[in-house]
Amino acid sequence: MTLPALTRYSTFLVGVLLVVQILVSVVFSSAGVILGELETRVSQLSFENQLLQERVAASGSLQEIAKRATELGFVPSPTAYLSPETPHAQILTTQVGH
Amino acid sequence: MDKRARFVGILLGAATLLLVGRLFFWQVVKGAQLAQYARSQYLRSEQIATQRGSILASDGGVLATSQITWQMWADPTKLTKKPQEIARLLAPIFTRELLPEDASGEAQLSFIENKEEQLEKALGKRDIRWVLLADKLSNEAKLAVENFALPGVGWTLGETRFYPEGSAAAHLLGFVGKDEGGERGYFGLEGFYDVTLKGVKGIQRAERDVRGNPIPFGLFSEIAPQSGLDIVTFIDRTVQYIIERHLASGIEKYGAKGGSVVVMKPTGEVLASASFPSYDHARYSEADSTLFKNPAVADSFEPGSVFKVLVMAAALDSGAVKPDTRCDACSGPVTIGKYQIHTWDDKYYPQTSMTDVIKHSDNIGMAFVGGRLGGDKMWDYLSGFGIGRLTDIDLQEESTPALRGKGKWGDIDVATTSFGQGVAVTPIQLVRAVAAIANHGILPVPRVVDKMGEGREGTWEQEIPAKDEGRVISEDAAAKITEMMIEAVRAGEAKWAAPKGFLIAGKTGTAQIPIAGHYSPEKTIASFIGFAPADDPEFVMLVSLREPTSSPFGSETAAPLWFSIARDLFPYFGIGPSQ
Repeated sequence: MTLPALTRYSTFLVGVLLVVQILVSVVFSSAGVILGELETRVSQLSFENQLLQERVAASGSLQEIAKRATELGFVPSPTAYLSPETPHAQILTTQVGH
Repeated sequence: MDKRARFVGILLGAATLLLVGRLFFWQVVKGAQLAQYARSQYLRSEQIATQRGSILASDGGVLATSQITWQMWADPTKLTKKPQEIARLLAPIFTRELLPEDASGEAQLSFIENKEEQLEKALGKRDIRWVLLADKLSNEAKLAVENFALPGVGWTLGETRFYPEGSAAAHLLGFVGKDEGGERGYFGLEGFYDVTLKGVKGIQRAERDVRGNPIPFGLFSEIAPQSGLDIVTFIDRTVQYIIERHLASGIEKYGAKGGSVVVMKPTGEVLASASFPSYDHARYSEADSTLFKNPAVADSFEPGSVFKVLVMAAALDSGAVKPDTRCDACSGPVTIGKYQIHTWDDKYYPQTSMTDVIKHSDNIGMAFVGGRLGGDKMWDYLSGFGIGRLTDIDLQEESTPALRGKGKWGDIDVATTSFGQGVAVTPIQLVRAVAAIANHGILPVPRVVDKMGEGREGTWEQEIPAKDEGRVISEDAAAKITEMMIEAVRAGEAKWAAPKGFLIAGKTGTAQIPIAGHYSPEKTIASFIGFAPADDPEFVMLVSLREPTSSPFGSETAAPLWFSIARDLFPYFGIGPSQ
């Protein structure tokens, strides 16, 4: 390739690259804004997520459940144990029967 | 003409030189500095905050987590409403936020008035551009204030510790305060696991345009943050709730100054622990700082008769006595040197068996056992049970009283130690020692945390392996002392309060409090320690009451309280009557 041809070819290549650079800059100049908006959205969602986690933790606490149960009229029930032993009344009846 | 042309030429040449020189100055000499200035404008460096890890109960319920809060400030020069008007709007919102829910109407009114006054004063400072109005406000409060659309008011995002269960387990959890390095956990789990929970902040450097938007393909570097880890504890919220409720009512019922309850599995997993008086860890700055330490691990006391089971276990293991060994020195008070030892009720049982010594909580019988065991062996066994040593529980403030050195025990020391006087323990040491009996003779290491991990989104998780310190007494000796403790519950002083049909091994204790070198006759620490079901223990529990006034005795205060807690724990653990 002769020197003038090489110069013409180089000039053409530089021109094309400049145009490409301008086009890329134009295209991605607005992408920065989109990226910024996405960052804001992510931080908003993570903020809301944390608020919801706090609310779940507060609602699931035993203190809260006990308070709600009392408001709804629940009362603690006494524990009853069933014994395999024969009740006194039945023993007496059997004895009387004899 | 030549002269004028030369003059112009020189002038132009000089101007060119000046320009080149100036360019050289800015481009070469000052080039690096200017590049730095430019970078500082478009290259932003930001700290990436991390959230402190949560503390979870064994069922995954949240015991402590981070909460979003807001700092509210104002620029008084930009306010458009009168300070008095703004103060009147804000004071009720701040009152709802900053006062406890159960505050009386009178306290609320007084708080509102004070707050109004403070706000009006702060907002009236027209020569200042920044005044703090409130800290740690919730998001709800922020939204409420924003409804008033107040120009000149601003917000800064912050984070605070949130305890959904209120002040429950305050001593176990500790609190998060601040020092020069930022937030820091103090006491309990927050203190012990501070580094684990805190995490490490990250740094991000990125090129941004004039509006703060990121520049695609610009410079970007990041040191990723390491989030604080969540820790999952063995704490059972239901057991914690039960013991706190019973302890509070027990202290009131028996007129005690305070008390503690510790519930642990025989293998060392701490299920619950409560001590009163306590404090609200969310408002630790308003609390008495003497309440911060957990009495269950940091306070020591003379255990009294509950200690007898350890000395008897040691004597049984060493072969010094057997359950049916008869005490030939138990017919009356015993004199050792210048001291005379009596039983607690001045009743004496000649030729009593070792089982009856525990059943009657017989001091003379125990002095006899101590004499048979000897000082050196007693020291070996007590040290083996962990007395005088830290238990290595994962709570920050654990401390231990010292055990008198081996070989330095006189006859009177051996005698008094055998019934729990002249020796000091922490509640957790006592629980661990009795847990060794329930654990067939193997001494556990108490621990509160089961595992740690990356939280709800993460997958990484690491269990903390269980530890023990090996065998202290033989399985046979453990079984024999357990039988004696069952008999003590079945036929001892506290038999009237014991739930019928349940196999419980336990021992009462009434320790006089040493004051100025003497034992106070009225001031006692009443306690009861035991485990159930005795043949396959689900839990070991200690109840101690400080200075009960309804009765000084453990059998009439701590024991009934222990049994009332146990009555609620039995159905929860699925334990039914076995007799």
